[in-house]
Amino acid sequence: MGNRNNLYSLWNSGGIMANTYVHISSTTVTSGTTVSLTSIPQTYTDLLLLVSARSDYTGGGAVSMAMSFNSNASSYTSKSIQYYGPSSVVSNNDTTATYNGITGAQARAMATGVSPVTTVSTFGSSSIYIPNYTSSNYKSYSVDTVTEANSAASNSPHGILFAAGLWSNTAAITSIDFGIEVGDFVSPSTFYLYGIKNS
Amino acid sequence: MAAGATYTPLETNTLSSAASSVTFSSISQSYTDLIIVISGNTASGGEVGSNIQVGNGSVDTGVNYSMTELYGDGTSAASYRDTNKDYLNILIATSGTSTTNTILQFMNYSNTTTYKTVLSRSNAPSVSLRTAVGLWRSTSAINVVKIGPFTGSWATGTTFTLYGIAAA
Repeated sequence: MGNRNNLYSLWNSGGIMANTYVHISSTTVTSGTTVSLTSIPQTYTDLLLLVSARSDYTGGGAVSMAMSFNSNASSYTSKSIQYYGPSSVVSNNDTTATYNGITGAQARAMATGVSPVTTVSTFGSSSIYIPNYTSSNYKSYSVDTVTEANSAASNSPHGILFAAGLWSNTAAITSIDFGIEVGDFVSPSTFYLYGIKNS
Repeated sequence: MAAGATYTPLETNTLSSAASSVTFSSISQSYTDLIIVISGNTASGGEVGSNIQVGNGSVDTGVNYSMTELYGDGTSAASYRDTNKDYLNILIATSGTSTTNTILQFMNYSNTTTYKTVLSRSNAPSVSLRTAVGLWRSTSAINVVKIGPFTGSWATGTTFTLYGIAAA
């Protein structure tokens, strides 16, 4: 107890900087088509979500996910820059999508799968940054996604995606749900949530 | 031994009134990288870029900046570059209720050997997005950063947060 009291005193005197990049939760998916991150603390400034995911879909092409906030099914818009497969770089207006009962922003190519044309054990990687998620403003967020499959096949899910997303809702974000477009999540698809404080 | 905190909030500025620019000065030299997170809007008008300048002691107003970017507006994607400018145009912002956000990362900002690189991911979901790299051709350490929209002002309530990241 004595050591704890000493650390508490140091903390309050500025002797130890607050830890501002805090792990909130880890969700590892072994199967299924949806993921829910619930009871998100309201004590941070920004949220960072790191996703590593793969679908067992075998039909070719990359696999998207729908991402919803607070189980709300409306008011999602986004724009993206994407390089995918053999095409050139394009920009899209991404619309609301419903996958496996989850209606939300269409997060393109966030999961890859597509065996047998894709290298096994290859997962897509995404970083989703949500500033001021507790504010009463509309919530804009940033998505960076990469997938690489060591395959020259035209339907191989290799690509890079940058997206600017907006949820036109003033509610604080308390939960995030994902529904995969096709197939099931492959184990271990992971969703790591972090909170970042500005003080 | 527990690792020390390596992602440290240094300063937050929430605008109480519209401002043509926001400046972080006397930035600590104790970190490896800097991150600035901007969330908010411009006070009026449509899509605008940025006027960002950095320096040591005061911002460098010389033509020592360059940038390269990918840009998309939902219809078409393009690349763009600029050389020998007196500012960095590496973010996108707009007015209205569609909040915009930008994350800037200044790499090795405190070293005195290399020119300084900054990475930008900037999102104005109602109009466009961009991902960019900027270069300041100076070996001076950065201890001041000034961030303005290319024209007009930042809106009241826009937040600017500066973080320091230590390599060890």
